[in-house]
Formats: sequence, C-alpha cells, structure tokens
Amino acid sequence: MGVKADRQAEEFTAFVRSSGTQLHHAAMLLTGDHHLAEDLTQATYAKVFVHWRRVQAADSPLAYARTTLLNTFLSHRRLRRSSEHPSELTDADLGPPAGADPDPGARVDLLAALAGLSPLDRAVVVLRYWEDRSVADTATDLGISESAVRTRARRALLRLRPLIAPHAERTHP
Amino acid sequence: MTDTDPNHDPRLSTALRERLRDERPDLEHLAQSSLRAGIRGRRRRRAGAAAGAVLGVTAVAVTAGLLSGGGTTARDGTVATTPTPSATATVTATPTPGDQQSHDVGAPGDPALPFTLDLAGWTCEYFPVDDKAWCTSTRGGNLSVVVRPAEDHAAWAGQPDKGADPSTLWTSPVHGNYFVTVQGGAGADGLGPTPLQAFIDGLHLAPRWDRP
Repeated sequence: MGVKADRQAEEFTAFVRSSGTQLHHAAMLLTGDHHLAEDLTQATYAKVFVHWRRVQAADSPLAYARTTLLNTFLSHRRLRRSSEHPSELTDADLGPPAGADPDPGARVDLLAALAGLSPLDRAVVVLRYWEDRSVADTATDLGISESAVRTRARRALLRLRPLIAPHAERTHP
Repeated sequence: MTDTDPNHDPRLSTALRERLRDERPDLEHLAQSSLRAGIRGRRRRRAGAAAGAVLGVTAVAVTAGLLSGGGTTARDGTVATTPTPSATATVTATPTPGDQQSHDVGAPGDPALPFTLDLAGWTCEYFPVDDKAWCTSTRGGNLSVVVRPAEDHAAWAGQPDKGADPSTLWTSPVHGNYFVTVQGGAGADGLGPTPLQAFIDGLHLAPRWDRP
C-alpha cells in the first residue's frame, strides 16, 4: 500500500476501534447471535471502507456506519421474507403478547425474545431503545411511516416488557 | 429528543444496555478483518468499473463503426468484427485461471465462493466480499455459511468460544486450503424444521478455494 492508502487504513482502523463496540452491540440486538453479529459488523465496516472518503466527509461517520449496518441487516432479509409489509400492519397483527403472564420457571431471556421478533421490529427496537432515535428519525432511517414505527415499537414492547424486571432480579439478587 | 410515542418505555433501553454490558468485541480482529474485506471490495469495485468502461467504449466504437460504415458490415465482415476496442474488451473480460476454477465449482452466478447449497426450499445470497453466504429457507430457516482459512480450523473445531458454541452448528473438514462453518443456531431462526444432516448433505464444497 502507498502512503495515502496506509493513512486511510490507519484512520479506518481508528474509526473501528472507537465505534466498533457500539456497532457490535447493535448487531447483537439485530441478529441475536454472537457470530452473526460479528459477521454483520464486519460486513458493515467492509462496506464503510469501500466508501471511506465519502464516509469521512459525512457529518457523522458513525451515523453512516449505523445506517449501513441496518441496511445490510434488512436487505438480505427483505429479499427472502415477502410477508414483511410494514405499511399494512394493523392491530390485528399484534396478537397476544408473548410472556404477558410469564412463568418464572420458564423465563425467556430478553435477548432471546428480541431475536424472536421480526427483523423490522428488531430494527425499530434498536433505533428507538438502543440508539435513542425519535419516532420520526426511526421512520426516516427505515423508510417506513411514523405510524408503523409506533405500532411495531408497541408490539415489541408488549413482548419484551415482561422480561425487563425479572432479569434485573436474576442478575442482581 | 422530542418523543411522540406515548408508549415509549425507557426501562427497555436500560435493560438492553444491562444485557450487553459484558459483551466485548475483539476490536483489533474486527478492524483487520474488515480492512481486508474492504480492500477486496475496492478491488472488485474497480475491476467492475473498468470492465464496464471497456464494454462502454466497445459499444460506442462498434456503434460508431456501424453508423459511419453504412452497409460495410454486411459486405465485409472483417471490418466489423475486428475493431481494436473489442480485442481489449475480450482480454479484460477473460477470467483468470483462478476465476475460472472458482466459477466451475462455486455458486451459480458467483465465481468467488467455493461452495453451493443444493437443498429444496433453501436459497443462499452470496457475499463474496465477506467470504460468506446467508441462506434462508421458505420454512423459516436462517443460517450463514462462512468460508475460513484452513489454518484456523483447529481453533474453530476445538475452542469453547467457537466450535463448541451452540450457534456454530457445524464445522466442515478442511478442503485443501479452507473449511466452512455453518452458524446461526442460537437465538436466531437457525435451521427451522430442516435436519442439520440434510443441510450438510446439501452443501457441495470444492476441493480447494482460489480466492479471486
């Protein structure tokens, strides 16, 4: 590599060191699996490096990387899951919340329950509850309506809320 | 942040952060592997752009020749079939021996990965830049198949954080200079109703992998 390429590699490596943990955590929440999260994060950074000069010029390189992560995660699933029609989602799709009346003896972990949501629901959760993005920003990032964001967030919350407190009791007896 | 969702529950944010508090990625490995994959991606992108440019030049040259030559093509085949840009395009588009070998044994339409999956109901989307394919089943399965260098096989076959992890469903034997792992068992959709052995039987691995 030349001097310029070396500098780019150093800058990119520094970027991965500073942002890698945050992106990996988001990937963990999206995939529900340690190895898939590693793969997703690596695929994301590889794409980021391909466009590194553009990324550096962006207002927020981290936001660029986060958007790339979400798009990478959703794109391959969108191709496979034709049943994902966010604009057509209604309350009737919500169904009974899993774990609304949890059995303490068969408690499902929060991350496992998150992995049981649809990919788009997971993406909504990550943006709303991990990245602390607003409804409007989440809708823009995912290319869906604000109403769909609220509906999906509510559905996810119905499923996940029962698992919030029990875990705290388990980890901090 | 102005939030317009009355159902928003900040306790979920806290709980998610609590769950991931001890999750620490290997940032040095992540940086190096991403850099290598990114460099390959750039090369592939440049090669694609160059091939596209050559084809574009060829198309323009041929079109110009046809327009300026009137009916020449019909009367004198040598004029129309031997334009200089065509020769260049032929050289550029000819795959290297490594490419050809990979294409013969790799995924249909994808010359870069050394395996295919032939299993009813399953399809794979290939990401050669990442050395992996994500395979999905119409019945709900969702796995990744990752190509890895042979020198890593001992680690993947034996280490508790890799081969013994329930998310790694299968580690193949070494094929020449590589092996594959099938991953996605824990917390994800995994195999769905497909038996693991059926998935393994559907995988066809090339004797070795010559990375393009």
